[in-house]
Amino acid sequence: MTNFFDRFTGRKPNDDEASPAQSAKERLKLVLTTDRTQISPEDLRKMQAEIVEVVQRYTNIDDFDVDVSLELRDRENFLVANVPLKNATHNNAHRARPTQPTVDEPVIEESVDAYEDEPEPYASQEAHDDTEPNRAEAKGAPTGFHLDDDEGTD
Amino acid sequence: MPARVITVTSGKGGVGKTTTTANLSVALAMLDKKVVAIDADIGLRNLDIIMGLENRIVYDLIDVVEGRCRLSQALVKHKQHATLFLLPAAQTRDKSALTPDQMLAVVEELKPSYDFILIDSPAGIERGFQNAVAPANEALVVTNPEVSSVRDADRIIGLIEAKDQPIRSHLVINRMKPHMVKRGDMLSADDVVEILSIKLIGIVPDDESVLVGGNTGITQVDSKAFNEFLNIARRLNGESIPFAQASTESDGLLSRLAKVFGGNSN
Repeated sequence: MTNFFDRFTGRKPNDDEASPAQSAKERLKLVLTTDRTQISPEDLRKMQAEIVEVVQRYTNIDDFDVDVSLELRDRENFLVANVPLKNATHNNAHRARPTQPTVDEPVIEESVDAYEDEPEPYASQEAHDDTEPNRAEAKGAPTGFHLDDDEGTD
Repeated sequence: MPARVITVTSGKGGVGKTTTTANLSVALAMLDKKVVAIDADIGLRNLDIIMGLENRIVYDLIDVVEGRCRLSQALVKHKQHATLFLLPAAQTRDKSALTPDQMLAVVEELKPSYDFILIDSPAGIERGFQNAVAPANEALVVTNPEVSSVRDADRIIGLIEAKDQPIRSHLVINRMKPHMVKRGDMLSADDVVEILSIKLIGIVPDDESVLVGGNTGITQVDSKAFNEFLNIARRLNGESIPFAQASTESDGLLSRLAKVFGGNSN
């Protein structure tokens, strides 16, 4: 049906490929982010690697999940970093833990704050998890640590 | 009320700044506005020939700023429209013959007596462009639906926004080919507006009449393109006129088929 009409409207049969108009738009958006911000794609890649490095000092992330990009919104430019945190699953496990006293809601908020401020409690949290069924740990933590070990002190 | 000073600019050459200035100044004059069109392209003057006034020039902009004549002596009255005047560029000099301050002084002197002052900017982002935007309250940024002119327009908009007193920019998309947009071969007006993020004021269709107008020095007022220039003039005056995105109805077979079927069902 579409093919039939597309032929008459002059549209190219292979619509999986971007139309010239679409590729013009995408290429322009890319080149304009560089033009406007003076940040080259290469700079952006380096920045992303360094951001990953910094975040990994505090928490577990997979570097291939991280996306750092430049966005143009109404002639304003934004550096947007999407960094999925792996230990969201740890926190959830922590929160769901039945052994905590009933007042645990506010206590947990505090502990999360402290955890963000200083790296210390991070380790203790891991230790906590060790006492629990190690489901979350098996999913999240080890890959991160392995990566650290491979590239770091070993 | 003092004149609104609007600079027509684009960054890239050849996108239609001069034809936009010529057509829009005629359109404004047809709406009974008092208009001066200034050719700021010193050394490469063309607004005179596009407007059909090349044989009537006695003095030019540089003669005015260098004191060889009074401003009123350099103004050339349009043949068809008594409220439209051209202030021509000098042909034998270059951009360095003029400074932004001199341009400001000339425009200040014109302001009280006119409704609109349109300044045709040279291509580029250097001195000539700086001269042309110095006195502007508003800018018409002309672009074509094509990557290089859109990119250059973006640069120009950035420079305009960086001015000490930021001015309002309006976007004119010139030489639109609706049948190519329909095929997906050309950026649509929406695409261009989305990329540049400034206020759209006109979508001028690609129209051979514009070339004919330049060739004869007589604006082809009965044309699709001029109709849109009239719309731009009205929008500048605050009228709200919807954008006729693309007059594609007569083009595609699909829409013709749709019409036939629509006719049958009635």
